[in-house]
Amino acid sequence: MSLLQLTGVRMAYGQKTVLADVTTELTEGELVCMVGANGSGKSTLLRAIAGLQRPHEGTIQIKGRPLYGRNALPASDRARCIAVVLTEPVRTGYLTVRQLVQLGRMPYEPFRGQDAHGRAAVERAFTQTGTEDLAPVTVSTLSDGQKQRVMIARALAQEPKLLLLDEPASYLDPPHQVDLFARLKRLTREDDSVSILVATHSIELALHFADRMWLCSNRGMTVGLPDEVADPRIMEAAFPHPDTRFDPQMRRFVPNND
Amino acid sequence: MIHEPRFRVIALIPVLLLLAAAELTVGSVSVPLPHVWGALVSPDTTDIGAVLIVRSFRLPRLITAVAAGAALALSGLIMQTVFRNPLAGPFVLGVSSGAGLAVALQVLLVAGTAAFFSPLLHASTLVAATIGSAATLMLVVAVSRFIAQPSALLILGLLFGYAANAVIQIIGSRAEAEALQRYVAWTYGSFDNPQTAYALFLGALTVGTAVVMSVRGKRLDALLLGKRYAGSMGIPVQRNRQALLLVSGALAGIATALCGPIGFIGITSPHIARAYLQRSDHRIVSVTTALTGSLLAIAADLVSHLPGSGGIIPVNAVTALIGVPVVVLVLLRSGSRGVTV
Repeated sequence: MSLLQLTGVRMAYGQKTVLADVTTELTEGELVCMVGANGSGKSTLLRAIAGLQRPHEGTIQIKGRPLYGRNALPASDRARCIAVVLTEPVRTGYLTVRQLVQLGRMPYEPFRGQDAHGRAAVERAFTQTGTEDLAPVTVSTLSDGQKQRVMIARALAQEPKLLLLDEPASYLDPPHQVDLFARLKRLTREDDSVSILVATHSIELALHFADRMWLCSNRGMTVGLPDEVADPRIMEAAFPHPDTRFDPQMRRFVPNND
Repeated sequence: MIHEPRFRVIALIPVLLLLAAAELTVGSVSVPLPHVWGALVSPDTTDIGAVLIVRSFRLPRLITAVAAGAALALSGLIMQTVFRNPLAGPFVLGVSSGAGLAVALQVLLVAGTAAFFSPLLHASTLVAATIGSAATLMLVVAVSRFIAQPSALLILGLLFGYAANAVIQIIGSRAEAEALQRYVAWTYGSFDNPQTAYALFLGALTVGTAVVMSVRGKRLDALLLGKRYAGSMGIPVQRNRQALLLVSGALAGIATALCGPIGFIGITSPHIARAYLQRSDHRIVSVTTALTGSLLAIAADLVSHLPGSGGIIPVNAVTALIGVPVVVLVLLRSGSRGVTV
């Protein structure tokens, strides 16, 4: 069943359009990886889907409800549906990891403390991200990679239907990158499944783990199965660079003269 | 473990009482503690001199110091959270100067230069101060959108302050010599405030703000993550920021109207409170910050009235000597491991 629908979406900054004519959808339980060159509008589109940046044109609907305009889903309802992990740095002073992850429960309990369900959701978020041991630690003492995992835990504590991740693996070492994508894949396969959209530069991992690929470029978006888009013509069109080519066997970009 | 921070907050109360007792006892004329107690509970049977000193001078000053200190501290905490900037505070962002400018304009327009910084305040002065500080804050908000570096905000605030002070001086230059002298005295900062009712009003506003900030602490914690994260959690960020800055402006504005532009209590109290508790969650930090502000204000006032100093040291000189090292520490820490709020 379709969870997220984008229709004719155009993202722009002033006169400069970064991404145009995006019409696609995301099905429940899918892991979608969005790749694209720098400046191709991945992060911008991600923020639009998060309800944080209004598109210049087009509509974005979650479960049939528009995110913007009249009849828009109220922000509090949206927060129970969509959670994000962004690239911006998090500085939270003396807040502990547990306090940070508990903030994910904001949309459910703005006034009162946690109920049993909320506590269980927080514990599950720790387990799902493998961050149980970090709970009592002060966030500011964590490494960048640990911070990223903790921010994912915070987003999962929000119990979203759709989880949006912007470059979640950028500070992780290779084994942790693989582990992260494997965990994300597992999340989408669990019973009360969550759908996940990841903007990433890790093309190899994306092609390996994604159910579907979104390729962003200034000419628009190409959507396909990983095996379909792992094609030099498609990849090189999305990542135009005079000195590199896409190697379909290795599934990554290599120098032209290799 | 859970109760430890709470214990630390409660531990501040006896310190506050001790300082308050000292404030009523110590001064150019020493009033022994039994007389202070007598003046408070049974003024009819106590030495008339002691009653006069305690009830007419020191108690109003104590109430004003407690209220203004807490108000400035909470105002600073709100600014640091909303701007996510550890260097924010009512004085450094030019908000105190903005309040002063509005007060100067109001006095000039309404009462004429003769009443320039008259020792007696009117309710309209408090309104003017609130408008002045809130307007300065809004200006800072507008410009801060284009500023990435936290320390740049501080420079911006200083510039706002200079501009506001320049205008105040121009207005002041047209005032009579006596009024100008009062203005200069006003800039030194003082908790001597003949209108206790206004200080009580400020105190009530401060207590109310601290309670709301504690109850809605999680929401403020979420604001620490930034506009986008807070928005993604369903918080109406714009509305909350505006409401918070309005309250912050009112607290700083009224405190400035009562006491002059008191520096460094607003910027340092949140840092001292957080470091003391080793916590950043607003549920507990808000109240502690307010208490810290009161403590600092009384301490500064005690130092400024120390017997044997042959006069009164300006409160601002004392708060600067306490505050500057704290701000330098914050700056040093922010250089090494990222600015923290």
